Amino acid sequence: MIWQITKREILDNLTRFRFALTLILVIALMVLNAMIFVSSQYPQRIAEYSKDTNQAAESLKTKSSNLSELAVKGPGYLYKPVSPLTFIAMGEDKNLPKRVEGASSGGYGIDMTTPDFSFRYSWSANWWLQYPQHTSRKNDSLPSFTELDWTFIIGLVMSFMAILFTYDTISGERETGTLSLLMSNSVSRATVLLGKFIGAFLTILIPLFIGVLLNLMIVNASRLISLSGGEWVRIGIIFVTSAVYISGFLWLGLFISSQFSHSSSSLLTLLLVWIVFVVLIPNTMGVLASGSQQVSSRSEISRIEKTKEDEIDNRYKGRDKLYRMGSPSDTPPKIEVLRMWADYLKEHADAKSSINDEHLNKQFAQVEFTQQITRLSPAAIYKYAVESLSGTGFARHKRFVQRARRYKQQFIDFIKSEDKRDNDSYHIYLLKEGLSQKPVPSNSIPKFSERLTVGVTFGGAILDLGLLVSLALFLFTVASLAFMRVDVK
Amino acid sequence: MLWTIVRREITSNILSFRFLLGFLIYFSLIVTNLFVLTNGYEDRLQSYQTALRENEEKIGQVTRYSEFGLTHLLKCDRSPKLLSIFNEGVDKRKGNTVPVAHGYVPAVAAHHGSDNPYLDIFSSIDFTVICQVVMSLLALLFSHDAISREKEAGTLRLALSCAVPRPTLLLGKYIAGMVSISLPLIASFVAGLLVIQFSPYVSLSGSDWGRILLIFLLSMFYVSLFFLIGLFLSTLTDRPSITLMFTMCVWVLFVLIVPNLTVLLVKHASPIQPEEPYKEQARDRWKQYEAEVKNYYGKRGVEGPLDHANFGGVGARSGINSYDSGETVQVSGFENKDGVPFAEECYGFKENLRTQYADQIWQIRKEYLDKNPNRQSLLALNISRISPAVVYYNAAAILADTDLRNFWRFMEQTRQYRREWIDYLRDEKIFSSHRWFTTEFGDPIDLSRIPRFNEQGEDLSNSLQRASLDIMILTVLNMLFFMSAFISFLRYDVV
Repeated sequence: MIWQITKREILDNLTRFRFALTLILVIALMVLNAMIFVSSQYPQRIAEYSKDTNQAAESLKTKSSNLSELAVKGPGYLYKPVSPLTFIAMGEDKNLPKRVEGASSGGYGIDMTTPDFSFRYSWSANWWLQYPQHTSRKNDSLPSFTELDWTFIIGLVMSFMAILFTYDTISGERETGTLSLLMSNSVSRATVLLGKFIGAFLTILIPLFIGVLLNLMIVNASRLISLSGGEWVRIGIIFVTSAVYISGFLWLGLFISSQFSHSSSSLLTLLLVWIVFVVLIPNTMGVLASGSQQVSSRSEISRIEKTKEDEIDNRYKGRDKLYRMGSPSDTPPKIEVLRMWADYLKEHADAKSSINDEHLNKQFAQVEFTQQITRLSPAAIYKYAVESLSGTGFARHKRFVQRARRYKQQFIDFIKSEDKRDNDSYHIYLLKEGLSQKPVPSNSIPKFSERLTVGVTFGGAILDLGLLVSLALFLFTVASLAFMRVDVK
Repeated sequence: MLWTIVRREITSNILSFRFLLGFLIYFSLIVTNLFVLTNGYEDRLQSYQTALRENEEKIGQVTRYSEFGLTHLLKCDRSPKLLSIFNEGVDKRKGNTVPVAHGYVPAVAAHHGSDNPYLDIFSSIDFTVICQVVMSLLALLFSHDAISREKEAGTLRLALSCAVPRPTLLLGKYIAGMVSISLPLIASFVAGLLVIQFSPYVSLSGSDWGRILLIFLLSMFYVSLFFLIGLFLSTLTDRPSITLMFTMCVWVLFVLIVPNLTVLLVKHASPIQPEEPYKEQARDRWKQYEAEVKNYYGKRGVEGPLDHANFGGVGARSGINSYDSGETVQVSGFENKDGVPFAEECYGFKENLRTQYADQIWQIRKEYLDKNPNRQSLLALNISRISPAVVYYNAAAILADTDLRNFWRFMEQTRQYRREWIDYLRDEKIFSSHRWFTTEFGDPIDLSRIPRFNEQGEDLSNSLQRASLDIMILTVLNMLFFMSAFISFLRYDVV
């Protein structure tokens, strides 16, 4: 029986205008998305990334001629690799920084002569991880727009189509009187509802499937990217996620449709629910939430930095303690001078590093809080899940920063172990004069890399996937319970 | 007769479920959003005022004029626009502070430090966007079945069997529809004005009221257009459900897809060229400048401006940043005035020349901007006009003083300010004064007479003139669809 209802629904849907509309729209958008991606978007970003990383590698090579210089100046710019699945979710990458900087800035020199002593030394500050705001957006005068990626095509357009597919499934039949006719057969309500759902679900999957297939064929045929097995698995998970997301909207449509006796009323209600949850909440809650948690401004942070640095300076420079005993550049230097200077410079770098890290953590916490609030919208949940799976968006950026922080430790350990091998070195970390002056083989320096495996991306998406599935189940339950109680006349 | 029809239609509209639901949702969205937007405006206003204060403080620290060349650049700050509450336009997106000096021609604006730039990943919407999305949908939902439903119910035949001419019936439906749909619009504008009025930071001027009124009328035009599209489509079919599918298709296409699609296409089909060659050209010009300065010293038989002077120490900071350059000099411990007039002459030559070079380099940069980002933005703006939703948004942005051209006007004003500043420097012979490089020899510099930047708002009549194209497009489209609905309805088979 259920198969009969499903078949009838599918045949009915296939001949409808809305099916043709969905098919054309989804295919056109999916093809367009793939074309733009392979013709300019991806090649440009890859070219930019490889140019950036080559420059970074070049400067690392220059620094590697002297271990102590490498130790002080740091590993340089660390760039975020471009995910090959960017066409699925652009993830606001244009508004996120493309690198963190493991570099130092600022050189200092002191040349003083007093009746008691004379001191001469020049040094550059030790490196720390800095988080600049250079984004890859090129033209900020362009009208703001949404990228037409999968999250737009499925999250927005397909969810709208899901509503158009279901708004009259029950209310329409009630209007024409066929619902009571159908129910007069010996068929359970659950069967009818399930049959209608499966019918709508299968028909709406056709355009999605064709669209996705064409999209992947174009991307694959371009030979720009060869998608690995792991990436195919991720694409598979994204497709299933999309199906779950769309099924949620189908259940919502069935639920609302069963509550109204006129299909126009059920459509109106659905449209307004859709507008509120898919269009408006993701776009308004961001501003709303950002007001509720305060983050220090850039100038406040500079002030805090300055206070902390003055405090350190006062401690070391009180009564010229730092200068009285001699300069690290004396030959041969005194070990206690080297120790004191190393401590002094380390405290500076650590202070800056911890203030900046903490500030960034607060900014991230604010963004995450805002994301929590926008999760009121299923479209936002879907977007976050797909972004996590495709390795783009904010969650990925956070992971990149965490990776860079781990790399920092790795780099420091490398420097220390290289330094141990040189017997001429004083082994005092971190001061130019206290470390080995020998060159480092540049290929032995640990490379910064970021792996996006199925496990990692799936782990990042698990919360959103769980939410989507629960939402779909919830709507399914609501729709089934509601349909049990409706008046079929 | 018309009045009877209008009254009947209004009553049936207002009592309908869709009206109630639409009204409630639209209104609650607008009110929550207005609070958010007003708060955002207040924050930006505060950071603007802080910026102005810090700028004044920084000017107050200056002791030698050359500090204005690099270390203490004068700043032009852009005030946030009050009506950005109604239409954000580019007001928040574009930078709002611009450094100015004789060697710095303003071309791009930087942002006052934002507390959390990562929040940019969340898009925000304003009053106009809500109106653009929700009101257009409501208008279509009201009108898509205006004719076909009556035909289905059989009341159309009944109505026309009385002595009601078809035009009167159509006009009656249009007027009634617009009256009922304007109720949520009016309510939202009143709510908006109330929220604004309660804010302690905001006071509306006469021209602001005019602008708000115009934005309201514009919104009515926009809503009317979608109402007429629905009405027209309704006269094409016999069944409301078919009309509905058509109208939804039109809506998704013109409100959701086309505005994003056109920008995306322009971005990829007409990309901006790399800036590096232009920067290279500019750096070459600065090298020429340095060579010319060196040549000048060579002719005078010196290596630097201070060669003839007897002084204790000199500290100088100079910087060339592709398009801009500047130098701050501090000379102290003069033993006597020997050689000071010579130094004055040299610095006068050097800085005057820097001004000329900066002007030439600005032409290079202008070429890049005109041919690349600005051209691309204009192209995207023009092409996206195929969607009436974009036409409406642009016109509202112009009326709210938040559109891109208005921002360019601000940038033009900053360049004018630079000219004013240079004129002041030349009139007062500051380049060739010892106060350029030293604080010695008495008389501190008079900071109060330094010209300050004054942002000029645009006249309402000018804005209106600029918005006229978009308003015209909306008018023509309105008329077109009214005529189409009219003609189509005259031929409509009522049976």
